[in-house]
Amino acid sequence: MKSSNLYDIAIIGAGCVGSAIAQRLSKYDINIILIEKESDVSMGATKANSGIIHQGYFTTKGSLKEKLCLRGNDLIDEIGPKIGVEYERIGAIFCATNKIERETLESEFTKSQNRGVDVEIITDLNRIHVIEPQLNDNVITILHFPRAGIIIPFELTIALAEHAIINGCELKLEFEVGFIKRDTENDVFEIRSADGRKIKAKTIINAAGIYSDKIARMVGLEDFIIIPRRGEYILFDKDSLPLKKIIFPTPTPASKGIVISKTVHGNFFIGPNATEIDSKEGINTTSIGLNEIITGARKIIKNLPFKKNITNFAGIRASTHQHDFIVEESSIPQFINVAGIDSPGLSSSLAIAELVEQILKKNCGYTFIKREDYIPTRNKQILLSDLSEEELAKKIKENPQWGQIICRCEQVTEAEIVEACRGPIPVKNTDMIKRRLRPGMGRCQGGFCLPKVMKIISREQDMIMEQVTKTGGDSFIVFERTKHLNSEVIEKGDML
Amino acid sequence: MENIDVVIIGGGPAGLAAALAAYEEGVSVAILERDHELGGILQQCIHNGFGLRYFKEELTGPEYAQRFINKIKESKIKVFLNTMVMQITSERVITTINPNNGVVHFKAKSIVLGMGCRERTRGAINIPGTRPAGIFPAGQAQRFINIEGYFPGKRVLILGSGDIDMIMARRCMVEGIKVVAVAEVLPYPSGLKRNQVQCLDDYGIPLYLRHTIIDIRGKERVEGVTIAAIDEKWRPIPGTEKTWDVDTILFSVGLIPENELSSNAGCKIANNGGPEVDEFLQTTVPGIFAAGNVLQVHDLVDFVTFEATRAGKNAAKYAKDELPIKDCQKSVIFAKPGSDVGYVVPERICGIKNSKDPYEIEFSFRVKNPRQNIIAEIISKGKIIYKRKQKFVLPSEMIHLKVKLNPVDVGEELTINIIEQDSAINVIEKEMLEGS
Amino acid sequence: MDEKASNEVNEKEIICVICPNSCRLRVSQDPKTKEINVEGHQCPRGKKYGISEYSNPVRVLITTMRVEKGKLPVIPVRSTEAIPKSLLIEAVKVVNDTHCLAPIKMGDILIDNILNTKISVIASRDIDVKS
Repeated sequence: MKSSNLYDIAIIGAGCVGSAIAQRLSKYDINIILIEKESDVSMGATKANSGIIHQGYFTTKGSLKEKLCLRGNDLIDEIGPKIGVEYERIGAIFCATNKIERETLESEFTKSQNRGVDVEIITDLNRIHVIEPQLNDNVITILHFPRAGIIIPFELTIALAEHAIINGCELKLEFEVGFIKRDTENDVFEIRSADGRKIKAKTIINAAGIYSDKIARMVGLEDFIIIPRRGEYILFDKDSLPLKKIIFPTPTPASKGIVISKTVHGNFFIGPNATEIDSKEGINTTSIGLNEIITGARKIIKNLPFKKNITNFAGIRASTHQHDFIVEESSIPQFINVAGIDSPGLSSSLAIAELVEQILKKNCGYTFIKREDYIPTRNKQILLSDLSEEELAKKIKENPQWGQIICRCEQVTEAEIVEACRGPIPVKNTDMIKRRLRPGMGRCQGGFCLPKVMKIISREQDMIMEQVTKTGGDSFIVFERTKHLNSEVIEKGDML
Repeated sequence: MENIDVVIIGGGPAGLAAALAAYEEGVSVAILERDHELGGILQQCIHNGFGLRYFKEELTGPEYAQRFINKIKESKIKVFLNTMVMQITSERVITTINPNNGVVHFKAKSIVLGMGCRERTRGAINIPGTRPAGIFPAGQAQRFINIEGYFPGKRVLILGSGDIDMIMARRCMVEGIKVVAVAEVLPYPSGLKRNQVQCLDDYGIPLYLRHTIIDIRGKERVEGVTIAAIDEKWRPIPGTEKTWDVDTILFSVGLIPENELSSNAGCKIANNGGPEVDEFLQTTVPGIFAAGNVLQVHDLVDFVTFEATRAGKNAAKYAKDELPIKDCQKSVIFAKPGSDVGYVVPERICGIKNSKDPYEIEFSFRVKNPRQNIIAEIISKGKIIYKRKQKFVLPSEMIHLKVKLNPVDVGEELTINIIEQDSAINVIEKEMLEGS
Repeated sequence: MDEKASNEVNEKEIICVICPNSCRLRVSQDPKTKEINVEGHQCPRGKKYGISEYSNPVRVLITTMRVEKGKLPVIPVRSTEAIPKSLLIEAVKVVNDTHCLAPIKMGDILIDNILNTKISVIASRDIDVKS
């Protein structure tokens, strides 16, 4: 597709925003590269996120957050089905438990109506409990946004990145940008990785999430700093609480509060809290934080099924003091900052990509021509759960791997894992498989299937078992062999 | 569709014993096993200590399994390996998939559920910290070491002092993996004393009771761990922290019966996580029986064998239409856990009401706290209808009560209590006084 | 020096594991008569355990051995009887440096007379040949 290391556009950061930009631009006849320091897309703020498609609520009037969130909410209907990503508009409710909170909701109701958003305020207690039977009895008013929805953030991001890749966008994983030089003579940027690899690009889009300030500083920009904020979550088993809605408390100026929501796969979660932290890598959960979200959730819902929680995790938000998204060409020509993308960043990502496209046309001199070979859709990988019994029987006959269940909890077959390994983004670690097919994400959290998944990766990627990692880098799962056994690559026919 | 009298779901210790017991009743039997071999989790429990009750000799886990497997091989029991059960209906139609035969259906006259249990996960206990590689459920580490032949780490801290934790501590030390400590949130070790002595003390591994992990360090692989003592409200006590550089954390925080198939088949699931059963080990769905860890998590495999033998036999009788109680929904008396009792199996008794003679029932249950000099009593209609003295009870040791109850003594429900011997005597004396 | 040491009463505390009583046994040996004295036990079995743990503590060797051409890479093995505790780690090293060839049947002797204990190491299960 291209001969030298020169690209038209380099997007730094393959989170939901970077991937959405790549997906949007990949329909044009230009060379794009998506650069990511981690071993997979979706590994920063996107990874551990509430996964809610918001409806513009509680944003400041006239802000980018307001505009892009509403637009992003619409765009998901246009793009989601094309790239094979699941989402569900289950609706969100905000709950007031006292008069002051009710007034807050009433004022937001008026604002939302002025935004032209579908919204309803409900004070009838019977109706409140019909809409969401799990609410505590002290909830007196709810604000209902029917077009809010749920989506799995990394599934959206993987779908966007893969759609970009099948349309010629290059994805470079484990490329941590260490240095950017601006070659003013040739009007290109030289991007160097920490380990000395080089890429040249005419335009840089800085979508580096919590590191976007660090990337901006590499070209001398110091107009914003990212304040990492940590949010912790607890995830519960499938069907452990029959929630109908995404449930919020009444937000405070500081935060939207502890959310209780089901996921597209039928689990449900509570979280996040919001703690400003010093380290950008501080994705640990804490006893205090976990208690905080449990207390928060208990204020609004009746029955938290404690024995059914299956994991906890933390995510980082890339906030700034500006309190609004930064999406603009910087004072350095051809260097676009997409920064400070905290909530509602996921909801806005598709609209951010649209805005970036406009900026490229308006400010950076791009006249985009649609590629002739553009593939407009990305097919979602066929899963066991999509198949009827007859279809499955036929598949097993063609390929016995369809009959070999690897993950019991989520019912994932060997065939699905093999296909994921061979996908547009080659899978080289067990977390990548987990994000694509969910083995290890179920109630046993990989207790039974981990060795089997490792063996399939070993076989498909020609790696010895000791090289298979959990999540790239040095996250090795097993060390050397016992009993002077030889290290081995698993071969076809070997037992899983 | 393959028609089989008794289908056994799972080829672990419960399934093996149930299959053999059903087979001895002269019915056709099939075992459906998801793994590539029979034996279940016993194959990775390579330590000794199995079989003392059942075989009256000390065996390793694989030896215990092999003895049953050899018997199965000599029988005409059909074994389907690599066969995953996808669904069981209340009409006892079983849908399976298998790489060689594709989708296969079985129609059974009766079924024994023997799917076993799984380990609770780290998330289930909300251990804070990062999520690097190197945090293993103890059973998974056991599999890597004992079956796959890999070192899952070199320096380990273990959270939990159940038998599997202590046995893994010893396995690690024997294979050259350093175990720096074992931490336990309870004020007493949750496994057997014997294991504490022979697995921890033998190797000089310190055991920290009433401690928990408060931090795990490391981004890619575990680099260190900090534990702290906890107060009675389970809050870490500042100043009691202890930190080690380790590359691995093993944890085991209990086992959960694996009952997704059972509940999809319509079986009511009891509070202990297993299906609710009657005295024949029949679930609330007629013709579906359960035994072993899918019913209740056992501490000795021998008792799994005893239990599954009963279930297998009863399932065969059901298939032959010889089970004395056909309708398990009628004339039910409920058995309930009372003072200091965690749960009771069976939860339902169907046959006693219509029985003219004293009726034999085998109860099993666990206490909530370790205690000495207690009485286990059964109460119905406000009266003690059975009592037994016992010197020691431990939450880690399941209690088995084989009792003969007089039908006239039993009301709509009965309760099992654990009480101190003194207070029990007082109650009895009081009743005697009232009676006179 | 040696003389003096052997004259000292060498007392050890041993927790009895025979029953849940978990008696704390104080076991010592009379330097002259060489008689082993057990205190703190509540039953004869406890005394017996104390003596054997004091004089010659033994444990069953449990480990795995490498298998060539087997369906699985390692096979679980055990010693036919308990061996002296002090020899355990050395015995594991001997097993680690040995391997066996599939097919194997449960009970097959894989190492005879390990470390001259007259005790064998045997297979805990069958292992078939890799197909």
